[in-house]
Amino acid sequence: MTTPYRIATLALAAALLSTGVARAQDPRLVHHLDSTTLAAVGALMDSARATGLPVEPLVQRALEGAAKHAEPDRIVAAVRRLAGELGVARAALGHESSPAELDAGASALRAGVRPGDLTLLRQRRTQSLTVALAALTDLVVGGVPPDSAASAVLALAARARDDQIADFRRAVERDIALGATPAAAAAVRVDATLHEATSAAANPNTPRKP
Amino acid sequence: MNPGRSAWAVTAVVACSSAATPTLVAQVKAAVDLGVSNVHYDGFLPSTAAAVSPSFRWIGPRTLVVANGSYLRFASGNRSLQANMSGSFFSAPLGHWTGELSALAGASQYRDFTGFSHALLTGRVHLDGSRSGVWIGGTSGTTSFINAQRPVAALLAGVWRRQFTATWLANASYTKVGDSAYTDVEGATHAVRGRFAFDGSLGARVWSRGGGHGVYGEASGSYAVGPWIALVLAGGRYPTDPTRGSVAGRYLTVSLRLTALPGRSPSPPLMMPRPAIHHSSPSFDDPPAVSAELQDDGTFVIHAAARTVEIEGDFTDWQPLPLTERDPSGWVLPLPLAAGTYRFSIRIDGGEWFVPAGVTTVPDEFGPGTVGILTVP
Repeated sequence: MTTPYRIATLALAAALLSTGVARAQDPRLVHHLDSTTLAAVGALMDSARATGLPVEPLVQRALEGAAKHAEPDRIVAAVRRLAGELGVARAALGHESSPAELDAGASALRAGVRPGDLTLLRQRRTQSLTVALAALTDLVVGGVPPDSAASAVLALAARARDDQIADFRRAVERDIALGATPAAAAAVRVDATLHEATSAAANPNTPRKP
Repeated sequence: MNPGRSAWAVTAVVACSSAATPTLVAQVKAAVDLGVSNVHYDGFLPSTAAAVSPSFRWIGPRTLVVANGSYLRFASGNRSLQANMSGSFFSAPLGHWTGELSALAGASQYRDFTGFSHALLTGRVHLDGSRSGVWIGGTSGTTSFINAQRPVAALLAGVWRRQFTATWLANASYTKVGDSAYTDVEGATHAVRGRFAFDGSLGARVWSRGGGHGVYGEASGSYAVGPWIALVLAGGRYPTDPTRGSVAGRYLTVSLRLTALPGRSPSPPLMMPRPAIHHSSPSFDDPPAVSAELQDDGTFVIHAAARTVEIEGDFTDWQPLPLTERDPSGWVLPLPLAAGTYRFSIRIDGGEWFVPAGVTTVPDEFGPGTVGILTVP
């Protein structure tokens, strides 16, 4: 277990002890989890809530496990892991982060992105990070090495709009699907997106080339 | 061309030159190739380009300086520039042993974008006989793309042999660029016969993490029309180069070589003209049977010929939700989604849950399959 995860887990445990008794369970979980699993997931949700982390992703992860008839231990482990990732994501992205950003940040961490890259992304981009983080996750999941993917998204972070970042991600995926190597596809496409973003920022009325 | 290959190329020239004609006095050669290329990068449409490729080489008793570049103007009107310069210093021979220290720097640019640049330092030890030799070495340096720098390291070893009018070379290299890494094995030959000169290479990327796989090879033949002019035909396929940021591709170039300062042999420039990165819109194959698409207006559409399509995910509390049929092969999600990322799966006609094409997938924590990720901006 890495240091950020250990710290996040300890923080969650401390919060759990301080809350003492678990609050009322989410009614959506009551009908889908057995009592033991419900108690364990509920405790994790309480501790997350006490530390200011969003609990809806935890509820959804538990419901996903229940819908797929997963073993109770597996459901609890998945929820606990997600809670830890949300804690690390918040530490990296800052306490002002939205639930959607934290959820996207947790996915990025799961994919292999370094917490330090999330912090850099927060520093460079003033808009919401949800789409940028999702694009970063998609690139890494698609085979782009994490440092290459992070470099590309960080290069776009300051200037590109959400739709441009989403287009960039789609273009890279398309190139990969057509045979380009992931790292090279990302490198090639970030050039074009950056140029487009820079041109648009300089003169938003300039028509784009077809 | 990766750093290992660049280093190898420098050694190849030295091997050819020193073995054939010991350079007690400096030799200088400068040339420019004017030609037309047809390039086809992996994953892109083919394109033609006009190419101008100058080269310069200075060979002293213990020093080799090489500079070359290329300018390509594609049919689209876009242009590409790249330039490289290297310098090598060779130690005094100690028996059959020689040490070499080389520095290589280069940059490339496509249109007006910020491009790649790299700086590499290579150390090598040569064990040479009169007709054959071996070398081993290592490369260290950095490559940068916009503001992102990545370390470059390479280990390489090779062998050369001179037979009649041809020199044969073989080498293996392991290259690490950031968290990409790959191993190449290559063989090459350089031969001169009368007015003809031939360079050929064949290699394979036998192992890779982020650098692609495959076999590649290039060939270049030139015919000296006179002391100042030669006709050149070159072509082949080359691998992805993370250091220079070039995408794997193949090319065919016909050019006229104008030699300003003829050397003793009509050997071609150190590196064959290599097209830089080209941007164009690739064409899609036929779409898969079931695919997903998030349209610009936020509508999530599943394209499938089916009687029923259901979805379950973070936005349905993981309960099956039937999609609404919009047209014979288009099914839409009947609820709005807030910005965020959502996990989901679909099923067709009550079958197994799966993730449609066109969607990012991640391993399913609760089973052997995958789960789809939908990002709503």
